[in-house]
Amino acid sequence: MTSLAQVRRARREVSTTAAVVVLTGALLLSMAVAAGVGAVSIPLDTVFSVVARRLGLGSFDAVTVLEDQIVWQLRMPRVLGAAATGAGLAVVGAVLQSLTRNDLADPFLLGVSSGATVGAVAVLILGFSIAGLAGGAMLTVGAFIGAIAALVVVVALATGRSGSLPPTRTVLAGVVVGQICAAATAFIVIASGQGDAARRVLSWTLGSMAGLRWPSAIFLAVVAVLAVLVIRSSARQLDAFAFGDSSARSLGVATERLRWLLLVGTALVTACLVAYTGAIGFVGLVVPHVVRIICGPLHQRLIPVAALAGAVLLVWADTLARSVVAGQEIPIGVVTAAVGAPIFAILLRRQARLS
Amino acid sequence: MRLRASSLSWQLPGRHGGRMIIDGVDLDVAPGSFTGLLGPNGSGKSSLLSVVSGLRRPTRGTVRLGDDDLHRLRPRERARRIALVEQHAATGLELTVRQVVELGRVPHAGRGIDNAGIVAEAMKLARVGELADRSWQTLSGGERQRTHLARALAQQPQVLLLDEPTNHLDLGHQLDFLACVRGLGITTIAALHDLDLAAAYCDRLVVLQAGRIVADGDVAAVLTPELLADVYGVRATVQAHPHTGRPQICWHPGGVDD
Repeated sequence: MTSLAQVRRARREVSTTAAVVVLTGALLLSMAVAAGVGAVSIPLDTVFSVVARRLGLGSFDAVTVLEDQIVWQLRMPRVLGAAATGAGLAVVGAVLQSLTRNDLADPFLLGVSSGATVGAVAVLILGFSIAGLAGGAMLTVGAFIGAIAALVVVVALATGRSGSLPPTRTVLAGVVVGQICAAATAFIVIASGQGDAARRVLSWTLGSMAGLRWPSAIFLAVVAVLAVLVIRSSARQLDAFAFGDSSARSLGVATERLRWLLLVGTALVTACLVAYTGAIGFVGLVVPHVVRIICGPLHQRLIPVAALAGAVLLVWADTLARSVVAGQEIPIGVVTAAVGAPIFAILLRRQARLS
Repeated sequence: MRLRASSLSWQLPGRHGGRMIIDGVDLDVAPGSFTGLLGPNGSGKSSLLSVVSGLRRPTRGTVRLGDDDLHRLRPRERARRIALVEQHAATGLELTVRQVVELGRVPHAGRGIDNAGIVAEAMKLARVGELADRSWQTLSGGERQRTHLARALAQQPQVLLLDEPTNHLDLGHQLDFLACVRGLGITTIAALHDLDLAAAYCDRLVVLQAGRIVADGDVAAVLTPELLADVYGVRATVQAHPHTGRPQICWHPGGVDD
């Protein structure tokens, strides 16, 4: 009995490892291919040469300066940023769905994206700026401030006397703040009288990786990796929420503290991601569901697999966004929804047939 | 493990002090005994269990487990000593029976123990070993309840608390479940609605009314026509079970006593 259980357990753990290894390989390959795609097409082996040379693995004299510039300076930060954003959004969505036991929870639950949009609008349309910051950086700062402000209001509205953040009230507080922010955004856009204001705001909201450089990309990668590691270390506690709050508490989980830390922590992660790349929808909502259907709901497997799946999805979404229409970028949110929704629909149908 | 509650009270939180749900309960539970907690709806059975399990902090009084104050233990430490099977704990997730039972090892995580062996043993004791790889969603009510019992046993608790564990089970599964619990020999407190079941399986009965203990003692001393009239407002005859000799309630239809 014991040995059989151990064999089964071992098999399950191997398959988690196998999934992580395969997906990591897929992610690295996707990133390399993506770095070759664009106005100037660069073969895969050249991409590898550029990266290997930059990492000090050899001289690779055949690489031209132009190829080096395109791959390493222009495309790689963007590809890395896309991967980090996808990973971050996917794990944050997974955690929020578990903590609130709400299938519709996504990373923007606590009003972060609507707050960020108001901040972005303030910069894009009202022209707020801080001396010494370029337009792009100012947009990031504005969105981040907006996101944090919204988060603070949501937490202040929802926190109970004992310092708890009950899921339902938190979700509703997020709705309240989201509505106010949406009204503010709409008012500013309409009142500005600028013909293309709505278009600029919409395109920011739908997200873009354009213009990401190394420092931002590395920052996003650090944020995403930290998020995955911290959440992964709470995996068993998150599993304990399967049968609800009091069940988790009776299993020794300090539910109020864990929920507060994770809700606020993931909202901060989301604020960082949104500030750089816009409120990219769909990834945080759907990737966790897809991974749950395939890998089951336990977080030790769900979290790393969702992170990698989200990363791969956004790398390809960004690649499509900048290559489908020549000379023009489609917002990445449009691509994630257009590609992701049909996949999700297929999985839903399969599940419906089995049940 | 001996469990002692002293002058335990729990008040609903409210601005000017809310309603008293548990009102000065003293309870001393002997190691290895099976105590039945009886009382009408709203008498405070579930609340008492949630205070005694450590989920709720009492307004006054203490719960001691051996020498330790239960509410001063760290949550994980508490969950290694006391386990609770709730009334209807359900999930929408696709978990197997084994995965649910493994949740019982959460409070022991990172202590390098043979979890798989303990989980297998818990499933065997609760008789869900055969169901290990079945999905929770496909289980019957009785199987779900036994799975919860196995999860609680996987916590390796010294005290087991059951909140109306036989609700929604058919007669066979009710008997089966209580016999299974009784056979474990763990200190157990179970809130029960069915007086005959309580009489048949418990060593001792505690009756709550409006948050206070109104009767406490062995089965025959507690289950009297007077108590049933007082607490439940029901007229009944108590007779000896023809087979076990334990008390059996024979209630009188329409027999609200006045």
